[in-house]
Amino acid sequence: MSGRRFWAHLHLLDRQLVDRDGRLCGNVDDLELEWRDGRLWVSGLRTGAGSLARRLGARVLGAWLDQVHRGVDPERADHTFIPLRHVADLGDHVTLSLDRTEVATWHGERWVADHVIAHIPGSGHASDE
Amino acid sequence: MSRFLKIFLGVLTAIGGFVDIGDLVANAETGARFGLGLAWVVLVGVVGIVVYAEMAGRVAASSGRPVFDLVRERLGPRVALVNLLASFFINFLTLAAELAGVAIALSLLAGVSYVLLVPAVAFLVWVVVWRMSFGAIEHVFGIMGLALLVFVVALVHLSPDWTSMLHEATHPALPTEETPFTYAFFAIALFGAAMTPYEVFFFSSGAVEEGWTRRDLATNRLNVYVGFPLGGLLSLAIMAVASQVLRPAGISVGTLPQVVLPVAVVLGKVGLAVAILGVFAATFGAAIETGLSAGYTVAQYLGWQWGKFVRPRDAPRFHLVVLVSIVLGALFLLSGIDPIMVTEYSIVLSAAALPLTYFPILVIANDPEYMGTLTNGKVLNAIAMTYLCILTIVAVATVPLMIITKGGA
Amino acid sequence: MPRMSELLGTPVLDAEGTSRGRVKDVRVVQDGPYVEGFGAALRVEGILTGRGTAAVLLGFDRAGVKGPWPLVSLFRRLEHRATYYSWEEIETWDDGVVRLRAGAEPEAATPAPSTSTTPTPGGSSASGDSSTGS
Repeated sequence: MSGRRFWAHLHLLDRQLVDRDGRLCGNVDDLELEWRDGRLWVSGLRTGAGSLARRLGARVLGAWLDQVHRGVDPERADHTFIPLRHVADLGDHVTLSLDRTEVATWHGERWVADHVIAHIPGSGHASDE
Repeated sequence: MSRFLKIFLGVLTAIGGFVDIGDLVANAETGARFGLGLAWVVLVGVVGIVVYAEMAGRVAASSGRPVFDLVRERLGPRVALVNLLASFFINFLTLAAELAGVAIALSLLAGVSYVLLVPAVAFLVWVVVWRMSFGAIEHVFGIMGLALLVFVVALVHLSPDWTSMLHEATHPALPTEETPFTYAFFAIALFGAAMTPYEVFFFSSGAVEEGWTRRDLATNRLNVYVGFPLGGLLSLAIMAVASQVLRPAGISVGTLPQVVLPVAVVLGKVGLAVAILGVFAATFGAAIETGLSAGYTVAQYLGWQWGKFVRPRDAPRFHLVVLVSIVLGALFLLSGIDPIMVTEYSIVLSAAALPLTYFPILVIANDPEYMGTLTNGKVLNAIAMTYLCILTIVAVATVPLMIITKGGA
Repeated sequence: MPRMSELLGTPVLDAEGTSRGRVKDVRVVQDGPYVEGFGAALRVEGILTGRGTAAVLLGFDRAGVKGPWPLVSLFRRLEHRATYYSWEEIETWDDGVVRLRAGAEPEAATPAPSTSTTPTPGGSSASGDSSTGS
């Protein structure tokens, strides 16, 4: 892909993130920028409840949420930043070349899955159509 | 299953699934107080929901995404958050009202106070959401809801003067006990009951759950164009029966048993039993839909995996929201709050929030990025735009009228 | 590291210090060095500025939403009140303010259709799979 133009707010922000298996894994809550040679470049995406809170102006809440998410991850890694090289496609949704377990929303999902849902019988099968 | 049978099933499901507790209460109450003087509002409301439900289904079939999912993309996270909070709150009230409806219907059979049945009902609703497939839920409760046809049977059995009924419907007159304000208030309540927001959120998420593509558009249109209006006729039957039986006797509708009372009067115990079955099915189905809608709206705003088409383990927070909503709804009822009042507030507030729901649908249905070649035609846009103006007027008038009439007293 | 949300909504002043509204949107172009797994890097090309309700997000002007006509004409008028400045016209962005160079000239918001603008319309195939994925 090259030469394509996007409007950050219109085309990139708030788009659904989809992992390499087609699973939904959050939204593009913000874009990370970096200065290089006096120009501004998009270095990657920011996702997660903390990023959304920051975007809506609640900085303190956002920082706290990021910290909570990090605390829940066994490796204390920060999955809220997705570098551009893991973005496979930009269309009406954003496809990542990552698995959803590597994206910020996974923290919350996994915690709830392990501590709540797993205790309810039948959580391992989809009710078939 | 043959294609024809599948379509037939879909239409029947749409008819039986159209009515929920809001429609039951609103139509019976207006029938008892205004006769058929507000019947035209039901017609206007049905056309409105047909137009917008078809759009919401088409959005889902073209883009593979339900409408609420796209609200954040098109309107931004702030506006979408306001939309989410308002929709979630109103949806919650509706969920509580539906749970109450199920409990009351069962209490009429069991002879115990409905409050005692609330926990069991909530548990049952949640178990069905958890284990039953999406398609099975829709079809089972939709078809069972056809038991409400007993209202039509009761009406016919009464052998009313059809000409004078038609005259009353086409020449709305203000009853002496009512004021223009109560008339307008009940018009808004009826309108809100017919065009409930959760229906479109649920409908478009459901379309994605069932994997609709462009090939299903024709079926979608058939269900909506045929099923919903026939469902609207069911609503009118409830209104007509109330106007024929309750109004002359001066009985107003303040409880759910009073909604089915006319059927008992006309058709006896058998009729009453069928009516209760219909109410049970309609409210149970609607409780499931509002429960799922709670999950859909939150999950879609935040980008979480949602839906019954994946294992619960793969959409854990979605299922948690559904579970918590049902539990909170039950707790809300156990506080002893009047379920009819909850129902009335839910439909009136739905009316106030209608533009929030329908404006994004109209914009998205015109967006070639999501719709490809299937954007709205000019005629459809004209109708939808007219409705949007009506919805805005209704929304603005709701709270003042609620205050002036003291909630329709 | 700055974020896009910090640039969006920032007040814009011209060289004389007069307010030109706020940053309503930012245009990026894919013309940078190759990034493995993605393609050409995304460079910030310019900003769309305006006052109040200019450049409302809905996309009536810039994304070609087609109707209904009362909404189209209303929102297009709002969107046209926005001005686009190429990044070269910007002097500085710091302290929460974007300052334009002296004599900064606006450009057309949407460039002439020599390069394709994205995303491609009607993405039913891709999104159909993803949303029903399993």
